[in-house]
Amino acid sequence: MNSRALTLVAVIFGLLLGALLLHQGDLAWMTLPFLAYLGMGILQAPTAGKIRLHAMRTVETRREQERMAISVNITLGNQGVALERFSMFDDPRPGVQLVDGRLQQSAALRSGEAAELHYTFRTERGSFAWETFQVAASDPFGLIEMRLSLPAAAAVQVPPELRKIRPFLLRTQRTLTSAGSIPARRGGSGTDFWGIREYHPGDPLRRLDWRLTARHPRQFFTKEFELEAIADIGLILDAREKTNLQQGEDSLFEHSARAAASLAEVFLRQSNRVSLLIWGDPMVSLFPGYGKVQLNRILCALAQVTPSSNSSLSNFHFVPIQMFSSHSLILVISPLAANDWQLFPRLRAYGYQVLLISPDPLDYAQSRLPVDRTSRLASRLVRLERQLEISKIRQLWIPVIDWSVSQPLSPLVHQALAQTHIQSKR
Amino acid sequence: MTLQRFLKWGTLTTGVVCLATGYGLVGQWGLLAVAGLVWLAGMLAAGWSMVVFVVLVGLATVGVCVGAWPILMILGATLALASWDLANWEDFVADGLPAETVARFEWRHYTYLALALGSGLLVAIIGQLVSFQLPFGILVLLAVLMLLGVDQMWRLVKG
Repeated sequence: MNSRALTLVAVIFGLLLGALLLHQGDLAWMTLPFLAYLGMGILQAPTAGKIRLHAMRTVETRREQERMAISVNITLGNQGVALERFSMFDDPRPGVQLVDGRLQQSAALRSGEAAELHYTFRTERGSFAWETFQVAASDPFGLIEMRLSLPAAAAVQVPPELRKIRPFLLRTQRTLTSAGSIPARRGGSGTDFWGIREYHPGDPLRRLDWRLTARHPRQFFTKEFELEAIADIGLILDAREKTNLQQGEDSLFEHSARAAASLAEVFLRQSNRVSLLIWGDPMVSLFPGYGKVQLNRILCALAQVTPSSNSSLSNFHFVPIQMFSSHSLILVISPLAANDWQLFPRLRAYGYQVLLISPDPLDYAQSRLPVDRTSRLASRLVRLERQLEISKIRQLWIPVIDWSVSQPLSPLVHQALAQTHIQSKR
Repeated sequence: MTLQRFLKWGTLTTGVVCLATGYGLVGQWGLLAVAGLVWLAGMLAAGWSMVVFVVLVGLATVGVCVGAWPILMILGATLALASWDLANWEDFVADGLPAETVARFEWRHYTYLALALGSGLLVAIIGQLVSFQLPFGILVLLAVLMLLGVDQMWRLVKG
């Protein structure tokens, strides 16, 4: 029973009670039209056995203005009795912006007909899954309502937007054996001249250094080129709520997630082996992998992650760095909270090369801060704390990108790497 | 003006006219004024149809108690119910229902409504005109039977 039916029943009982208390038979007669109305509603109410509805959900995605538009279309087919009055509605998704259509719609269907519910919402990133679709069928007067939950499963994942980053020329301490684009500091089959050694049987003749051979009778010399191989790269993404800042629909974490996705894409495009650790709840660790499959894994993981306020993850010091291969290049993406610098000596102690990309929370929040003396002082204090934290990390010979998220990341990364030994001098 | 709106306002106005006539005939000018105000509220405030319905049934009850002609009061209360139903139907139709679907189901709705209220009103008026006396015990028995019957009907429908 819904509120209409309850109101009607209350009116009928009120009239009957009034008739008894006031000895007014006319009031009892007055209930008859109401009883007939209620009776007609009960007789016409749909029953569970006669309702045969099936729902089908289709989901389409397309990118619009830096955001992903997700169109959901639900087709409801009726193969049972005619339903003169029903409503179909879908569960709203938290944190999304509905741009077209509605989540609820009334309809009436004859047997064999179909109705549609269509809506579009826009989101930046996320993982969305639907299991069921809700239908409330009622009698023609809308008195007796029956709620049904029809299976209509679908799922869609919206990975963070990939920003194009120019390929880096990295020079890591250690490379893997597979051929790649990073100079491996040993002779092999590259393009850059590396050195000359004595000829070994089996060396290709086109690599013989004829000039040196001519100067040394009965001796042959072979030219060597620097081997170009791939590297192991690990990404650590800070997904703690305490380092996140929310501004309307945008958040600082979205920028971090986008940076992680873009960097993973560029490293994998260069055939490197990439792993990912998301320091949040749940903690996600993707072990090293190559190619499009690994990129897809990383994007799926980034689509699902939300900033976590789990206190057990508040300390950055406990990040399980052992999952990364030894001598990997580790890129940490974190806005940094107090004492987060303690992670970096650990990373250096394990022999990792490290690069910190730190989205600047103060710059991000600047536009929303009130312009008064207290805010200015607070901003200066936060700025000093942050600079202190960063200087402690820089003392470990770790390049730091203090990233204002309104600026493109690509030139900053290129500039930071150009000043360090991580990038090749070429 | 759509048919739905015309019928909704028509039933509300006729219902209030019935009540007002009943009050006028017994000289209850205060009640007549209240009925007029409720009509005005019903015409202006679209989302208050349930309140208007309950108030009009209350006014009809008061009218019976002050001695107004019962048939006019019953008619007024029944038309208030019709107006409430039509307001609800109008809301349902306005909720994105295609025009062809509305056209297909509209007359069926009116037919159901007319059947339900017409039959109830007819029995009530006949009951008013034909009077006979029943012993109280039989009346109680009939009421119990009716309640059981409604209960059985409910189980039949839901089961």
